[in-house]
Amino acid sequence: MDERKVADLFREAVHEVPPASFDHADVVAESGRQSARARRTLLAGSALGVSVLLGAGAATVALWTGSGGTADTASAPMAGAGGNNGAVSSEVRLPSAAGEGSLAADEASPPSVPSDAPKQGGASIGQAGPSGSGSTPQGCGQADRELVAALADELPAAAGSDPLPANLNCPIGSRGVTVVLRDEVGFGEFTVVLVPVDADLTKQDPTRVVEAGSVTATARTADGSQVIVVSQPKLGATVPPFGWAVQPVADALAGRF
Amino acid sequence: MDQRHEQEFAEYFTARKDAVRRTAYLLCGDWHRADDLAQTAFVSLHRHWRKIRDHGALDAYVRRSVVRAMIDETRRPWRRERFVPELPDRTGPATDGDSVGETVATRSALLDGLRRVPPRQRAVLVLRFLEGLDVAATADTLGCSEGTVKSQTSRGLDTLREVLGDAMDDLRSAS
Repeated sequence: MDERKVADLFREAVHEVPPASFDHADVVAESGRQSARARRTLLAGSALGVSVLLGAGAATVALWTGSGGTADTASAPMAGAGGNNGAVSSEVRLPSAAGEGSLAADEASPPSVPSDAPKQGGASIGQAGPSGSGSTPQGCGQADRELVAALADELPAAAGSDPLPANLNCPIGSRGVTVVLRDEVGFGEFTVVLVPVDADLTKQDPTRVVEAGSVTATARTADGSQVIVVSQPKLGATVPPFGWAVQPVADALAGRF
Repeated sequence: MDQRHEQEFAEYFTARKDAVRRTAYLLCGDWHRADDLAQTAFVSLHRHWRKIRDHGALDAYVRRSVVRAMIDETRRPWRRERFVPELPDRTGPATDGDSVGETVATRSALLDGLRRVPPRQRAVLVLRFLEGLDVAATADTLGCSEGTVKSQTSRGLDTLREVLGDAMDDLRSAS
């Protein structure tokens, strides 16, 4: 017997076929179910992937900003600091000549400025707070809307930044606001605090603990309250933003409150 | 899938359903599982119908799907096949002149023999002797070399011969 006869034996074994337990409609229905399931799986997988990427990105930003005070973590973004700051500096309404002389010493050192403040979590810089030692905000509470509006009038570059709680050791009863700014030479926090007349600055002086290289200015309002303006370099920058504008802003705000 | 494709698939399904079920039955030895395997293959074919450009290769696609489904199923722990030294009781030898009984006995013996053959060897035997594929087509369906098909055929027939005894003496010349 040859292969043909072996084949006959196989065919004989399945000569009688019982009725099928499925039909064309079952196949089409199951196909539709599997296709829908595949689509759902694809969507779920995509959503999971996006979530993982966002989580990893957020963790990276959190780690980066958490160690922002060290020089090596900020060294990478320094290169492009001066490239696109023309627009920011052009928004400044105050005469630049007024403050340039006072910043000569700061500008003598090479600028150390992160290239892109918002990517570094600009909104978290002020809230991350403790730069240096013991600068946890006290007394100022949330960003004061009135000060935000006044600061934006006097320093237009601040208008585009998110207002944050003042990142200084505020006396009780003070109002304040911090904005993260960048100009052609500096990057950091620009803070305005309005200290009530009866506050004891000898116990809680907002300017006592600030970053090295900070520029501070004070001015008295008509009722005796004190306007304190501080510009601090942050995230590895060595020059504060709009340092030349600190005193003019303090004087201007003192005239408004 | 549009109406034209659905119609084409329905015609193919009607024409090939029983043939695919037969193949699946010899691969697994149980009509219920055979229907599961065949349905799996047809569902896969339906989902990919528009993407299959060569409709002359539909049979090959379905055969490959059935074989893969059978092999995948045998790997599942709750369906894993166990090889035993002693086969379960089967239909007794036919009496002289009882052709029906002889046929049933031979069929049962063949199925018992196939059950003792490992899944890939079994697939080789079914594709070659039920589907009538040559060595090259069998190798293409299973994704292996022609030499592998030849050796698996030889071993599979040896196993069947051991199980079937005199009833399968004729297989000796076919390997």
